[in-house]
Amino acid sequence: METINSEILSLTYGSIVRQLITDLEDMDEVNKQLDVMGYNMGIRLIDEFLANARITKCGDFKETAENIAKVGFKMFLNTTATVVNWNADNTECGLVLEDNLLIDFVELPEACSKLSYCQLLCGVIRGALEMVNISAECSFSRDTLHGDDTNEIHLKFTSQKAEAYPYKDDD
Amino acid sequence: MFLCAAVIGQNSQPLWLQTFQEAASSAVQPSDPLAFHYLVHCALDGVEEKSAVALPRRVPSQGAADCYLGQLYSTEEYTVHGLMTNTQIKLLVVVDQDAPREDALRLVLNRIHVAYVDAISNPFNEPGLPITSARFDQSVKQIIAVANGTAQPV
Repeated sequence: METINSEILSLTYGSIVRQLITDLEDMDEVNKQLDVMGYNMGIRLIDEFLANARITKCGDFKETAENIAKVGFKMFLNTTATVVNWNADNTECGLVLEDNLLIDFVELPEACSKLSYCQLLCGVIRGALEMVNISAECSFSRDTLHGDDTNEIHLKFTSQKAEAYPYKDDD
Repeated sequence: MFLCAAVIGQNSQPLWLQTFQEAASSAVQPSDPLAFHYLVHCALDGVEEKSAVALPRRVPSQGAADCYLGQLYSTEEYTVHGLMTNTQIKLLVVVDQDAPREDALRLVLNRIHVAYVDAISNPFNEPGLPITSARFDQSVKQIIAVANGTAQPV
């Protein structure tokens, strides 16, 4: 497998975020835009993920979350996340990321305190899940850039659509 | 004993300066940072001299291309040593009478260089503007404390 220096990814992502901040100026807009960018990446990444990962069909949301955390993050960011805090009906959980290479050298200045720096990751997860007919909401509940001790993505599965066939059977 | 560290930019603008005054050695008059700013400024002339000499005869055995410039300026109480990177960023340290050996100085300056590179890799850092990274402050403090023997290396 080819490898590249992770610094180039961290610096590229950093300059994307910087450019968005310069262009849009409002942190909420930047967060939204990062999410949209992530979504566009996710809808394409899911095919690569399913092609290369040797996973079986997931029986329920728990297995889906485990696959994202262990296989997905490992494949694309070379790190694994831990799934924690399932709620009572198994629809919400947290993905705890110990080390996130996107934030390697980053320190947020005061002016950017509302910025969710890695919102792109949330968009990727949301987009990927949507392509397999699961709609989910995804956001950062804890962020080391804002002073918390670790990074945690809050994942909430909202619904699962049945496979929609574009053609009617009897045509 | 390292007393002060400073980072000077390409156009000789000060980017960062920090003094490290030990509580014990405040027998000497407690210098305020302004005195160190002045010292560092005077040392910049030394940088110009040394770099004008050093650059033409690039010593192949020097390995890494960063030029450790050695002693740049001295007064009765203090001496200033420095390192200049290929991007004309100067890293200077001010030491007092019991000057450390050259290899200790090189080590400290190289470590500060590493910390500096991490600080400017922050996408929110503007090149040419003063460095405001808390992580950089902390790293250099740790480097100097280890060099001064007041802290254990982690």
